[in-house]
Amino acid sequence: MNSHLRFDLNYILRHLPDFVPAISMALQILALASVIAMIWGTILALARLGRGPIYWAATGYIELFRNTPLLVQIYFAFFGLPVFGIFLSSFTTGVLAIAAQHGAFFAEILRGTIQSIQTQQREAGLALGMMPNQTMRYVILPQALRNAIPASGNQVVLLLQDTALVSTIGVYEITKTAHSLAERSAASFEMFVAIGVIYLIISGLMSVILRGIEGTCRVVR
Amino acid sequence: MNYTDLLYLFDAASKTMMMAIIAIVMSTFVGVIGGVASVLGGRLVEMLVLAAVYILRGIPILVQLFLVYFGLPFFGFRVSPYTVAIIAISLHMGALVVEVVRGALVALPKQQSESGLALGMTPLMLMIEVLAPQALRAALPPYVSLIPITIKATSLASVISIWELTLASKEIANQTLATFEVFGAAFAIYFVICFPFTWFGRRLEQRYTGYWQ
Repeated sequence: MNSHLRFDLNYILRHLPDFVPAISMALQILALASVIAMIWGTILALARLGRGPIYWAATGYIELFRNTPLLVQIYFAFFGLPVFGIFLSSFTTGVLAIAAQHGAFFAEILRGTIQSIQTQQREAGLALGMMPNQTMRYVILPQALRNAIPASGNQVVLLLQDTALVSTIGVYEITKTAHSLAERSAASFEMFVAIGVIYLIISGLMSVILRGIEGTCRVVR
Repeated sequence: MNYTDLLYLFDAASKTMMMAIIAIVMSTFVGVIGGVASVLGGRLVEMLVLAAVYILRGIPILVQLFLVYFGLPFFGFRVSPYTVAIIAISLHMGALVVEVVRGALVALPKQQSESGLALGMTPLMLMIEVLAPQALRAALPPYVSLIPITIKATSLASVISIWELTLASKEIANQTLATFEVFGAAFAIYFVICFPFTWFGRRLEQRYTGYWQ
């Protein structure tokens, strides 16, 4: 059995340049989806603090998207939206599907930090004659967003992993590129080892950068 | 989409649940052994376990699925795609369980292990009689919240053509073109399976923090 135990390192090295556009594609998906998810998450978190139909709509959305697999959401967007006459590229579909799920995760993070801001601050704002929505906008939300930075950083690293799923709808990011290179050779295992290492390096670098951002944004109390 | 299609989806959902149960049992096994070994096993074992956890957590499950799928034949093992999916999901989730178990054990006051050892307990006795019962309480809420993540992860097995809920709904969607209804039904089924665990995990968390704070 050991006769074919030959790890083809040369194949990896030869095809390493092919991964440059793939990595840039994955990073574009990561950046776009993170930004959209954070904005969407903030809106959802604020909606969840409201009352009546707004609260129930936001809660329903968050629970539905947190408790169903991202892959099914991607398929739903990719195969389902054209039925309604909405035609998007697979890239856009992938970005929106990831943002739709991670928006729900960010909303939960932000809800936690908003609730942890003490009620005294709210009362102080109201006592100073600010309207409730002004208190939220100028007093509570700035602090809550800053407190959400560490948890959001971890979430962004998880989002990087989820970019692999858009390979299933044919976006040539890292996983899809590895897949098509693997199909053209006998070096399938080698290709996936290579991209495993690529993912580890990217998430390692991201953790370092995120620790830096956390350090800069930390408030000494 | 008609009644027969819905039954087809329910059948597939039972496959999903079966796969999730096996993966949860296996990942718990991996996680408890890894977590306890990293605490009791000394410096070298701890470093090895932490390195494995870092690698398993840092690579997307989908990529791990392909790594196992192509890796086992590479080393001369022939296994079914179903086994591949179970192994890949159990390893990834096992790494997350290791972190939960470790977190709960490391958080216990150090004096407890010191006094246990001073009383002449072996490390294993100490673990079983003193540390584990207390750590269990802290580990339970985060452990329960890993269950829906495992169930959702089984959807990835469809990529290596394992027939479960995601693949079945894709099949019916392609046949009937009723994409909205079919994936809507799949959402509903996944939600019904996952949400009780999410809810229960949150309840446990509130109860636990309420108890200590």
